[in-house]
Amino acid sequence: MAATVEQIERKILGKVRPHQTQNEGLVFEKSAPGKRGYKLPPLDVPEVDAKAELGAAYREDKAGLPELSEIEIIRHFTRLSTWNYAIDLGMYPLGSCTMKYNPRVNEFVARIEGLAEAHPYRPESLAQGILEVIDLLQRCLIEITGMDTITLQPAAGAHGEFTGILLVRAWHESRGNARRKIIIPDSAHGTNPATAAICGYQVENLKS
Amino acid sequence: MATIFLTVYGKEGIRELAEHNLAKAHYAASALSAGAGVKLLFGASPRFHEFVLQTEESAAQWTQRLLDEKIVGGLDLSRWYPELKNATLWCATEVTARETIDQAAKVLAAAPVEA
Repeated sequence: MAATVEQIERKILGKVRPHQTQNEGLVFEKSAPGKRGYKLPPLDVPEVDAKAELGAAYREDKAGLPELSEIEIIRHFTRLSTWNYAIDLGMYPLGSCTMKYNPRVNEFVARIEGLAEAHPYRPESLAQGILEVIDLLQRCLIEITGMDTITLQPAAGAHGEFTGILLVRAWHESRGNARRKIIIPDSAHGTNPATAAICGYQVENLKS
Repeated sequence: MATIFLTVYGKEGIRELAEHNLAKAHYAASALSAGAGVKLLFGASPRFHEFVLQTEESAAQWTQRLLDEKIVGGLDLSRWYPELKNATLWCATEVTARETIDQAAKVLAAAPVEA
């Protein structure tokens, strides 16, 4: 049976090739003395004698870093980036990791200065915007899930998994039966048995 | 991102950047502690871009005066170290302009005079 136009298109689009340059050298191999990728503005305060000031903490050795011009740095990392397999090129079957698909509008919002540059210790009067976003999200999630309360404390998937297992454990304990085992398939992410073990459970492996 | 940052500054730049940080923080520490009723704590210890100030006036008072000038002042350390009364942690880096430091110093020094 002849392939449909849709099947042919899918086949063409499905082939993702990395950049043809597959022999990119290391930045250290491209380094040459005296090259600069930056220029600091002139110092508007008096210089400080770092050696006298820092004493034993002063480092005589130069940093083990390369010397490149800005365009060389851009080209180097752009070429490397074309070798990556990424969510924008195809399926990436991971859960809550940074590699997962985030709608573009989320990427935009996450870069809004007031959110991206928010300092955890700034005065509360200057943090009202981000607090409002957090509060609204909490209220929405409570309404959607029908739960009584919520925590947005977990900062990552494994952290959320850990919080979840602690909640499950607390619930079982409150009913007088803490349980002992958690069954986890051997195909599961490594954080799964790690979480179970840290929460005091015995891990039973299930062959996939 | 950190890799690219280190590549951009490179062998010479990272030192130059550190020296700018050190100079700005030193200038800020001396400018801010110049006013009456402000003193630099732990001044004899090696410092990079952070320093601690102690004020006679309560931190809450000058924090508000600084906020009126759109400057976020030092972080009150009494939350973690109750024994350090009115002690605040300040920071200046290569992006802090002398103008801002001078303005903050002026506001900090302008404690209301007790009658």
